[in-house]
Amino acid sequence: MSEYVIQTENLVKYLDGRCVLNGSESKVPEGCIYGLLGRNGAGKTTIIRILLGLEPATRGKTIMLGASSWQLPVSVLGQIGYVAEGHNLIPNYSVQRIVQLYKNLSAHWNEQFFRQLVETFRLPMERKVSQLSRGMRAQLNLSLAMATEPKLLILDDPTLGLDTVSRRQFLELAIELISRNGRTILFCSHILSDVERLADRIGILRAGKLVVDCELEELKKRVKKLRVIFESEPPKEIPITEIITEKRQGREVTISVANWNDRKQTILNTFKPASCTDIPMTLEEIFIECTVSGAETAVSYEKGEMIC
Amino acid sequence: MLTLIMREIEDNRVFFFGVLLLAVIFSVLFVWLLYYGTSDDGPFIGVPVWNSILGMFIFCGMGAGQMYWDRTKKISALLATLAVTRNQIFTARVIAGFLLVIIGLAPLAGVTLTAALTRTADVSHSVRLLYPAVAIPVFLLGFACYCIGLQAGWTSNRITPTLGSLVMSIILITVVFIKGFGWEIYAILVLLIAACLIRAWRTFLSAAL
Repeated sequence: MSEYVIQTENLVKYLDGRCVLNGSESKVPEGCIYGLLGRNGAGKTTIIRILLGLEPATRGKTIMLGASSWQLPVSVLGQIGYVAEGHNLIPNYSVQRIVQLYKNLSAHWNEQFFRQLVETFRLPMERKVSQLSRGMRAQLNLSLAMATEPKLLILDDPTLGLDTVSRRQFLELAIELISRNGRTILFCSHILSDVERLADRIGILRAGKLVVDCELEELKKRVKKLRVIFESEPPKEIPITEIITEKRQGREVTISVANWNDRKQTILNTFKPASCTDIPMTLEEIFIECTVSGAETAVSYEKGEMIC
Repeated sequence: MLTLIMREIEDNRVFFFGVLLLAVIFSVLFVWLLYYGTSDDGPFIGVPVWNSILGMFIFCGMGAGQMYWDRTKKISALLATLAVTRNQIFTARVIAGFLLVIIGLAPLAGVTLTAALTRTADVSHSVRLLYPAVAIPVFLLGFACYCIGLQAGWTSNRITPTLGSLVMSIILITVVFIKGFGWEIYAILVLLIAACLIRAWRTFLSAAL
């Protein structure tokens, strides 16, 4: 099997005549925690559904654990845990019945770990799924997925609907799972502080295309936000490539640049700025810079080229 | 596989109870005719006919219900993320439908067999022949109705599966009653079952869950 747990090549998906994914390419290495980010409707859930074989792709190739996504064999399915967006559990089933179904249909089942999770989340086993709150459904779904001891855990906005305490509990559990060797996690979330805390690799989807796919630390190094103050009127155009955003206010220019390097620094220095301050960026700020409508360009570290 | 079949049976237990009830009524009438029946029992013979027609609608309803509830409650979307393939889910579903039709015939088979073996009734040659002559077409018709429901049920619109499968079943039952039982009808029913099953299987395999 390849070193990549997930691979997508030229993935295209049309839904009701609308292009949801437009040639998305990604590779998720084994043992990595991959945070897939994107605005609403960017195609995150669609990618996950295609990977799991729940949705056919219009074009392109998707491979999970060495098998084609559309025809995942039982042996591969048994190594995947999935928490769906909206926690898709059969509503008229009791919790007990859902648990039994998972037990019987999963390749692995860690009863001890599951009991521990049930106690942690205080899940009522006798209630129907439809009678559970959104948060409880999330906890149940997460517990079920984790108890199957998956080699690859896919979490589609797993903390949606959880309160702060439960979210923290989830993160701690996720960290515990990660600490078990060889586990790979692919997860989507809109809570970027969670992603920043957990992920070691980031993918950012914009208009159906993966515009960022690199390690979190590399991304932080590569995307720079600089406050440049000039002694007089700033130049009308700064000839640096891959500028994501540019804001001007008097003698001050704030720019976000992708793939920052020494060459770009040298070009900036030729304008002899009075000061040039590096503004540290959080993942959230990088995400906003890469996905806001004003940002016409974004970085693709792997290819070392701009995608417009 | 057993878990999947049991899940289908448990989820559709209403249909199983309904068919079992009809089968018991049918069997009681059959026993009555077998032991006490005379040549003037014409009106009583009409009851099993209506009973059978109701049974066909139950078979059809089960097929449509299985697919309709699967789509609306996203049951397969959950199952397909476990160590289960779509083929297994579909096979388990069809086996459950097959069992439903078998259950519909089982009490009658039991009664006929018991009567024949114990010879407690005047089981004439024609009565003994009656059962296989009725059972095969009833089974084929029942399973065909189930397959029509299965085929029509894969939609999120509640009216389409209900009306579509009902109309199809009524047409089918009418054709069988007009034409009568015979090898031509058997062949048509077998072909219809195969066509519906293949179409439902292909739809289920290629659809977004």
